[in-house]
Amino acid sequence: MLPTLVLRGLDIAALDEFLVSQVARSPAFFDQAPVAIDLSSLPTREQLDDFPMVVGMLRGHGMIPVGVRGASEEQKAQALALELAVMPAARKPAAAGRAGAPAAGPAPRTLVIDKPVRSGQHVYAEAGDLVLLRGVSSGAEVMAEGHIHAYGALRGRAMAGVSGNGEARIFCRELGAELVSIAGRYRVSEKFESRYLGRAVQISLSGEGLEFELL
Amino acid sequence: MARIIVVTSGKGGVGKTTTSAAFAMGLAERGLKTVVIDFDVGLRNLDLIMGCERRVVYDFVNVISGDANVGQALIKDKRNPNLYVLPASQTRDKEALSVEGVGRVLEQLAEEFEFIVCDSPAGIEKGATLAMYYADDAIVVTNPEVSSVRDSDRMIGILSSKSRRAEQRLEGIREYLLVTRYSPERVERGEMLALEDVQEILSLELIGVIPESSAVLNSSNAGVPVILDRESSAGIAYGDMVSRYLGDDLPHRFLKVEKKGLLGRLFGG
Repeated sequence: MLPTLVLRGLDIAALDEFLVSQVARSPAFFDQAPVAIDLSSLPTREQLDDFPMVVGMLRGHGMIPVGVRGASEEQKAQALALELAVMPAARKPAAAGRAGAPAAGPAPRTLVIDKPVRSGQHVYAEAGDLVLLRGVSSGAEVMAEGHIHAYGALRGRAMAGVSGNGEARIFCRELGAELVSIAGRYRVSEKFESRYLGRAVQISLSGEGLEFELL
Repeated sequence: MARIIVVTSGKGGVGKTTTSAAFAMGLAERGLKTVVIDFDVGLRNLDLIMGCERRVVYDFVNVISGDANVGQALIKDKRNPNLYVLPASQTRDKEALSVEGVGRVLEQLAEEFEFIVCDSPAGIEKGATLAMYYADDAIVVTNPEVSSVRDSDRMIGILSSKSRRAEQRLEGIREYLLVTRYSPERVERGEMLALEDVQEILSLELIGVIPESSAVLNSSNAGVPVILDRESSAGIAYGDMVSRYLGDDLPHRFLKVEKKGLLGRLFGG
């Protein structure tokens, strides 16, 4: 599950205090962690004056804000201006008595990108898998609800299963990514075993964490 | 209808102004009426590189704000009657530029000129985005060095999303890669990125490789576009680049270390 900060109010000082105590409890968990920001519990649907400060604050505490959930149209525009993804609202657990009814979601659809993804660009396959026919540059970010298939050199950040799909995998022909993550479990390139660098690799999530396998 | 070309990079100090001057002069030498515009408001140097810094009366910002008309601001090059320079303001800042204002000036210039070369400032802020906004072609200037390559990559991404052509869903800007300050000796020693590495990361059509050359500094000190230094490798390489831009498919030179023969080693040079 992508760690999510649910904002209930915009008291910046209180938020900062809260973050300090959370991070202090498990600093390794939050260090360089991709996080989503859930805006659906805020009292207002208007543009948030302090939103850039909130994003900056999360970064200051070592986290990496990647997207927003439950945003209104104005808030979505703010998020996009800050180069954050707009993600679908988190799925609510099925109510008692309807246990077993599948949650309705968007029909799965694969997003195919046939141009290089340049540094600073951001691609998000919100309805399923992502197929990248050309390279992903260092400094670019690619995200998918499902799998990521990278046929060009994968050099930026790749995050699969972003809403919590632990079955998602990352397939690449040339591993050079700065960070990979599946359902929120991530690893930075410094921690990749050298035998996988530059090779065709499959990355999946098992009980123990991320698993790398040569293809 | 004029062709608008932006010379951009992201990274500073890689050779945009040197290239703008050489490229514009190269076009003018082939009989094409060309104007080169300095978009670096507040930090102008195109006028120095072109050698017209003592003839600046009105500038780009004056024209946009209506203090002067385009004809009053344009400086005719003394060496070639086809070439004009529109200098930037030194005392104002980039807030004085606006999309509409720039658009109006370019429209006026398009009536008189065949090519409009826009010398972009470094960075990805207003000056740089305005310089590229109306472009038909882009020359992305890159040093064979990791931070320049990454910044160029970022700039290429911005070209494909923040230009007028992108916003109006027209045919995209034609992008070209120009590698500058290339030193085959350093590449051989493993100190510098090889051309193939730069091309692999940026995946752009290569329009030229300009070798590292002392002629560039000498020319800028003299206020002469380096393409006019016909003996220098940089001048020759810029000449090739202009030919390629105009459609000639020339092979790239100065890519390999030159092996000096016995006489060459005895007499240096």
